[in-house]
Amino acid sequence: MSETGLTSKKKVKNKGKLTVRDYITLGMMMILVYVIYTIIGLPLATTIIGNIFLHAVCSLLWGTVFMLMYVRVNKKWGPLIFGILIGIMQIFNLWITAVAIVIGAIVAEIIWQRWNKESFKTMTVCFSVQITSWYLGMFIPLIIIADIESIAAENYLELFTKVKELVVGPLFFVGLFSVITCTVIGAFIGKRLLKKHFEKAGLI
Amino acid sequence: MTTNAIKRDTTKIVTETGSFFEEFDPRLKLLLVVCVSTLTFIAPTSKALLINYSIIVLLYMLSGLYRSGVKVIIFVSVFYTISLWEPSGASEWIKFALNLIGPLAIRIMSYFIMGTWMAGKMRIGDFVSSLEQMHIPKGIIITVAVVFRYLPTARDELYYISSTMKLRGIGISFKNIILHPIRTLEYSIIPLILRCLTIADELSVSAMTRGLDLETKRIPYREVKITIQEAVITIVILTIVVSSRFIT
Repeated sequence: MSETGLTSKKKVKNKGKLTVRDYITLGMMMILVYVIYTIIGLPLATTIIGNIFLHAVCSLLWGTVFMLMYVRVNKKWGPLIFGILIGIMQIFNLWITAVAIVIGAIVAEIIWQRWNKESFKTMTVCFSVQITSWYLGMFIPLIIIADIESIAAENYLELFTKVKELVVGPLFFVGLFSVITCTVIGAFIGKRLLKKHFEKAGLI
Repeated sequence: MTTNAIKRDTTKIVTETGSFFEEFDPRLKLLLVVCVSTLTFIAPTSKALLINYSIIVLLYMLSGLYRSGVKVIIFVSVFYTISLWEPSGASEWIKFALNLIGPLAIRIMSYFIMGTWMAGKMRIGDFVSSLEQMHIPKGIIITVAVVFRYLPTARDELYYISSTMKLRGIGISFKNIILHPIRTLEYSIIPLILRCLTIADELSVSAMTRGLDLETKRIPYREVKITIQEAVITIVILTIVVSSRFIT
């Protein structure tokens, strides 16, 4: 009887803790984010305008992956670890972006812990915060730092200089608005697809 | 009788050895992946880029991944040619995009290519043991191990999905993306996510069977340690890759 009590206490203690299954799910979702970023983002990144709307377009697909991640890993530290992994992915490109992604992940984690984790609203806001911080981390350094050479890899100096010429002005806000709008749309698409395919299959 | 059979099997697992690069310490492999791909990504000149890719191809060949090595050569040749191509009469934007797309693809793909090399002939058990020796948190070890293990599988899964979609007339083509964007993306992404979830569940079961979720210290079957030969080879490769940056 006492053993059963101990077991149940341990279960309650470990309820909010990330398990091996959660880490594996995070790894899998990370690969999906990377695959979508490569398939959709790489062709878009070859044009100047494409760079500005890259996150907005990818968000439409990332919505499903992020929603699934939030549903499957509905525990503390999930968004933060996911953000750190994305940050590691970006660190070699523009390192300030990686810092911004991690800051976004910390903000998302605070929201995640304070608000109701099972609510769709919380998931949408966290997703929006994480992607918007990625966008801001990409363009704010270009706007505020005059010396781009100090932050960008030398091969992309020409690209970043041309992007800067375009992004200083109203286009930055158009891009920001499109990212926020597309993350919300992406979250709704994700919700619809999860209901249509995953809930019926009993996977979530 | 049964005990002897188990004993024989256990001995086989412990003494099982592969080629030199199959036995190469996973920590050094990871170091090579991070350094070689990062230095390839930020290679200042085309010469440095080609030297780094020669090293990558050599690593593929020495590991016995001949087919993949040839694919890397073809990939680099195609995109390098694109970067040199300047079509007459084309606008400045097209020329800029062509000059950008080749080097960008070659540089970004260096992470995938080196990751595939590492995952190609690596024992995940050795990788986990070696990272545990470095006292890295378990969560990061598992996530990174999953990413390396699943990278080649993700590529195969995408190929199977696109083949099946093609068979049903809803392939990932330019026409379908323009005419039916939502449908095409839904039919390509959802099966991939579904497969990911199935594999995640299978991996979780496998990880639990191997005792990855236990709080106690794991004792590996195989001893994982860095040999002098491996350290020397790693230093030589890194020296070549770093010094390629200074060749003009």
